[in-house]
This record gives sequence, C-alpha cells and structure tokens, in this order.
Amino acid sequence: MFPKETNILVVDDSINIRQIIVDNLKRLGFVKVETAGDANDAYAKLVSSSKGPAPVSLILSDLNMPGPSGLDFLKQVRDSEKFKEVPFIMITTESEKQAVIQAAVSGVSGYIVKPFNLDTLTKRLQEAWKKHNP
Amino acid sequence: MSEVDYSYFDALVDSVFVLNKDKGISYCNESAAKLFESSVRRLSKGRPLSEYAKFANENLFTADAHPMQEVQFELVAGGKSGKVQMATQPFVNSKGEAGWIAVIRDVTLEEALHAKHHKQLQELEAYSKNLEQMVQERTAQVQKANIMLAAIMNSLGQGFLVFDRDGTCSDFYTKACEDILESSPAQKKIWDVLKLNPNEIETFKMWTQATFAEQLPFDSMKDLGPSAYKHSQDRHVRLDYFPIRAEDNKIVNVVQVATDWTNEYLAQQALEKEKKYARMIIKLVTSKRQFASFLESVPAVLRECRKLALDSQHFDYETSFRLLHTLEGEAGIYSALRIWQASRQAQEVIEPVKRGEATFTPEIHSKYTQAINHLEAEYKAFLQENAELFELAGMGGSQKVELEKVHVSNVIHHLKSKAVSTDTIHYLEDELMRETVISSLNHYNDVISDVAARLSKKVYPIEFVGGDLRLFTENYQNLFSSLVHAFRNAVDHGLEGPEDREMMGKDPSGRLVFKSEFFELNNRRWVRFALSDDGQGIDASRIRTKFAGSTESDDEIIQHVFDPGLTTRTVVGEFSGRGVGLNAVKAEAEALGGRAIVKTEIGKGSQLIVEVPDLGFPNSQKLSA
Repeated sequence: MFPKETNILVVDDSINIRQIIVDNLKRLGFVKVETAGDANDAYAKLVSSSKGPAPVSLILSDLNMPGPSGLDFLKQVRDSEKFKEVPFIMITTESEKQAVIQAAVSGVSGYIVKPFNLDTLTKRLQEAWKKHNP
Repeated sequence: MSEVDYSYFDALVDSVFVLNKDKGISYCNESAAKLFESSVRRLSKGRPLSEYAKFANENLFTADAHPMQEVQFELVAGGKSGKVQMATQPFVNSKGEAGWIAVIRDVTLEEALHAKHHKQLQELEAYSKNLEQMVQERTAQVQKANIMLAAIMNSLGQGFLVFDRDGTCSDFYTKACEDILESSPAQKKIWDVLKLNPNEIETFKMWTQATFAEQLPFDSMKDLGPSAYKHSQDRHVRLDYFPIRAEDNKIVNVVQVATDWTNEYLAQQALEKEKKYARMIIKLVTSKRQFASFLESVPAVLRECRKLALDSQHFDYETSFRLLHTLEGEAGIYSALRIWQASRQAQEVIEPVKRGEATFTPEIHSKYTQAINHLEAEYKAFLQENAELFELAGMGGSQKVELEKVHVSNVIHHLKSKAVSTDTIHYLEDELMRETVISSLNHYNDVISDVAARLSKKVYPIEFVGGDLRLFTENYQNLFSSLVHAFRNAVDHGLEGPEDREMMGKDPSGRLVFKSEFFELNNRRWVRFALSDDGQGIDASRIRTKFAGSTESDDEIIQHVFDPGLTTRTVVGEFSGRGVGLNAVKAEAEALGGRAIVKTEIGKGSQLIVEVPDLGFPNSQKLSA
C-alpha cells in the first residue's frame, strides 16, 4: 500500500467531492494531500511539486471536468517523461464506460465509480499500488 | 623392491602391478592397492600376486601380451569379489629378468550400475505401457464427460461462448447462443456476434486489448465491457464475462455469458406501470383538489403556448419553455404519463432556440404547433382513458367546491354588512376559506421520494414547520406548482448520495424542511416560505466560472441560480438540469409582488426563500379561471 507520507494530488471540479476524497484519504492516514479544481491547475501543481522535496506520487482525478477532461490530463501525464510513472486513479460515473476504457488503454492505474465508500477507495488504492509495485 | 622407477604409473586410474619372474609383486600403484583393499607399501614386498587374489583365468601370464579381457576375481583375504578387466604385458628388465605388467580395471561398479539401470529401464518401460493405457482410459472418461458437458451446456438457458484476444469466437459454445444472440458464434468475431456498430467496435477492440493485457485487474475491466445485447425481437439480454487463464496466469480466453432476462424485465415494467397507476389513484384520492386543478390548468397552458407562438418574430420561448416544463413536472407528480411525455417532446422542439443554437424558423414553428396539438390530443386521451375513474372519484366536485366558496364568500359579505365583529369575520374567513399550506404541498412527498429512488438517493418525508398556517391557497396555485422544481432540485442537486453523505458524517437520508411563517413588512402581512435541504450546498466558484470577471460576492453570485438557462450540468437529467426550474419559482413569486432568494453553506445545505404578500380572498372570476 502507498506509504502514509505519499504526496497525493486530488483533482475534481466539485469542491464537495474534493473535500470528501481528501477527508477519506486523511482517514486512511495519508497526511500530504493537495487539491486542484481543474486539469490545468493540477498539471501546474504536479510540475511545481516535482521541484520540491515531496513530489506528487499519486493522482486521483475526476474524469468529467470543465475544460480539459480527466482523460486529457491522464494523457498529458503519461506523455511526460517526468511523470509517466506516477500512479493515476480516475474517478468516474457509471455512464462513462467508453472514456474509462480509453483511460485503461492510456495507462490509468485504476478507476473508482462515484459514489464510492472508504472500502472501495482502499481497495482501488491497493490495486494501483500493486500495479506499480509488482 | 623395484629397481626400476615405475612412478609414472602412480597417477593412473587403472590398477597397475609390476610382477617379477615368480609373479611376485615388485610394484603397484594406489588404484591397485585400493582394489586389493591394502596399501602400496604392504603389497610391494615381492610376494606373489596369488597370495592376495585368485583370478579365474591363470593363463594371462605367458610370454605373449594379452589385451583387456574380463576375468572373475576374488580377494584371498575374503569378502570382495567381482569382475575385472585385465591386460598383461611381459617384459625383460635391465638385468635380463622376465616379468609382467598387469593393468586391471575394476568393472564391478559398472556392472552393478548397469544392472540397476536395466531394472529402472524395465520399470520405465512398464510404466509407459501403463501410461498409454491410463491415457486411453482418461480420454474415454473425458470424452464421456465432454458428451455430458455438451449435453448440460446445450440444455442451459444461457448462452456461453469463448473468444480470444483477437475477438475470434471458438467452436465451443452453447446452443442457447443461437437463440439468445441470434447466431452461431463459432469462428466469428465477437463484435459481429453482438452486432456492434463501427464506433462500438472501436471501443470494444480497445476493451479487449486492455482486458487481455490486464491493464487493469479483470474484475475492473469486465464491468467496462458491453453489458447488454440488442436483440432484434426486443428481448432483454444481459452479458457477463469470465477469464480463462493459462498456467502462467495470463488470460488466454474470455467466456461471455448471455442471459435472457426478458420475463424478469417485463414483470418489472408491468409492476412499475401498475405502481404508477396506483400512485395516480392514490393522488387522486388524497389530493383530489390538486389533481383537479392540475387537469384544469392544462387547457390554459395550451392556450398560452399557442398565443406565445402567434408572433414568430417575438416568440417568447422562455415563457413557453417554462410553462411546458412546469406542466411536465406536474404531470410527473400525478403519473399522467401521456401529458408528461408530450410536454417533454414540445420542450425538445424549442430547446435549440432556447440554447441559442437555432432561430425560430417557420419549420420549428410548424413543429412546435404540431407538438402543442399533440399535447392537447394526449391530454384529451388521458381524460377519456380515465373518465370512469375521475367520475368515481367525484372529480366533477372540484367545481362544486369553488361554487361553495363563492357562497361562503357571499355569506361573509352579508355578515360584514350586518356589523358582525371583524374578529369573527376573520375567524370565519380563516376557518372556512383559507387552507393549510400542508394541504397544497403534501403531495410533493411523492415527488421527492420518486426522484430520490431513481437517483439512488435517500430522503426523509418533508418536514413541514408551520404547515398549518392558513392561506387563500388559490392565490398561490402557480407558485406552488412551480415549487416542483425546487423540490426536485433539492433532491437532484442538493442532496448527496447516501455513500457520500456517510463519508461526510451525515445521515445517509437527506432532510428537507419546508417552513411557512407570517411576517410584517410595510404595515402589511407577508408570508415567507423557506425550503431547506441538508445537502452539499451551491458551489459559488462553479457558477462564477460562467461569469468571468464578475465582482459579485459569493452570496450575490449564487443568486444566478434563478437565471433562465443557467445550469452547471453538462447533461440534461431526467429531473433537472434544464436550467429552467428555479427561474419559474422566481417568476411566480415576482408575479405575486414578492421575491425569491437562495442561501447556501457549502457542505451544509441550501435554502430557497420565497416571500410573498398574504393575499386576501380571491375574486370569483379568478377562482373559476
């Protein structure tokens, strides 16, 4: 499982969902959680954190966001030499299957269907961890 | 003692003896000593070879050389016996004396090994013969099992088929496939079997690629595959997937299970329809008056919608859309499906105009007129269909109540002229003419539970605070009708799903409170309605994205929820998201000379506040309108 000091970036345009995810991550013991309201802001935070002592090493992003979508963001991250290995979990809804398949092909580390609970989040984090640390 | 240096024999693996003319041992190497179970020192004392070992063939020590030959031997000291290969070579030493060199190779071990291997070989042979028989037996068993399996599979009601990473289906499939999937899948591409369209095929190929490569765990991937087959005969077919793995745990095939659940589906549909009809009857009985006023309001809406489209240059599509949207909402409440559907269709005609994607062309005008005519026809059909039911429920009585009210009004008017005290008059008015707020709004409980159920949310019944406050409800009929949007919004946009609520430490079921109270303003009595939810609140920053550069405060910016056409949703939901709802409430409040505002607290909930004057007894003309 991801170490508790993992720096996590949570991306969602809904302030509430963002807060819920942050709360849940904190409840799981994670102490370093950053947030972003859209993909552009998220990429900027990814870049700036990489220059500091604790670079972002796990991303949880909403799929459906105004502006660049979560899929666009994923592709941007996977295309970057620097961030392509960063575990990336997509937050989706039941009706977004096609985009999730595209995300799977584009190298997403896992996905979570909203609404989700703590158990599901834990399970998906474990799966993503296993995928990146076989 | 040897006089010649034989030490070059020392390192040989074979045993070497040098014998003198009397066959006495003058030299032997380590191997020889080992063979004779003695030491070089003890053996090399010139004593005859025969004192140590007996050889079956004594004729090897002649004047001729003898090549290697097998000889039985036995140590004199006892114990060791066996077979050796021995070669002898006569020679004459420097003193002219004759002697022999004997080279002996111990083959006892080889013999023993050979015997042992021979035994193993025999066993192996026996085993392989046995194996052949076992394979034959197993094959027979498997064949028998296969026949049984085929029989079982083919009698199954579910379609099983297997496809590989290229999407090719194997020859192995159940008979039921031919019925459920309408073809034999053998050697076909799975997407052809499922009759996917080109776009779906692309997605499916991506899915297959990701699934076989296990880019995500199979359990995650299987949920992303097609979940239903579009049957040509309207049968409902559900699809499930299971992996077949090779020894290295890689997925080599995927089993698809197709299940026909049409009967279950139809039963569910029938139940749903019956429930809706039952709900309509319940509403008819419990809110007869509202139901009647809804039915009576339809012709007025139709009239208005026609009037609005008369002047195509200045077509007021906003109002038309709002009226139709409210009608749709009310028809939904009363489960009047025909009216619900027809009013939705009419909205769809003008939606592009409303979104600014099209202008009100003659073509749209004609479609709009058709849609309104269709709505009227559906309304009439609905009345006719349920005429008997409405008769039984005494629906004609709503008119009678209004007349009675007029009578009551006349009586009160009469009393006023008889100098009866104002208190008494007010008391009579309150008791006989005014009605409680709860009686006009209680049916919204059905709306919220219906919306909640379809969105997989949970909600408690509406908590009415001051619900017994009495009003001349006729004055507020339009406002109350428009509140359908507010109640729907509260559940759809306001309340979070039960899991989210639990995550936030809230009760999984949402709470809606409708508070009614009088207050004084400018020496006049007003009434304030406040609908509160304990949901997620309105995200001001989200609305702000639509008003870039605005200097409004958060409190001000959220008032844009009343703007016609504002929606933060990208997809129009079944219940809300058309961006018309709260606009209707505000319009109705303002039509009464009042106002509507919203308040919100992120994560805690929102409140819709409507303030309108407490209007007096409506005139009879208004009543019968």
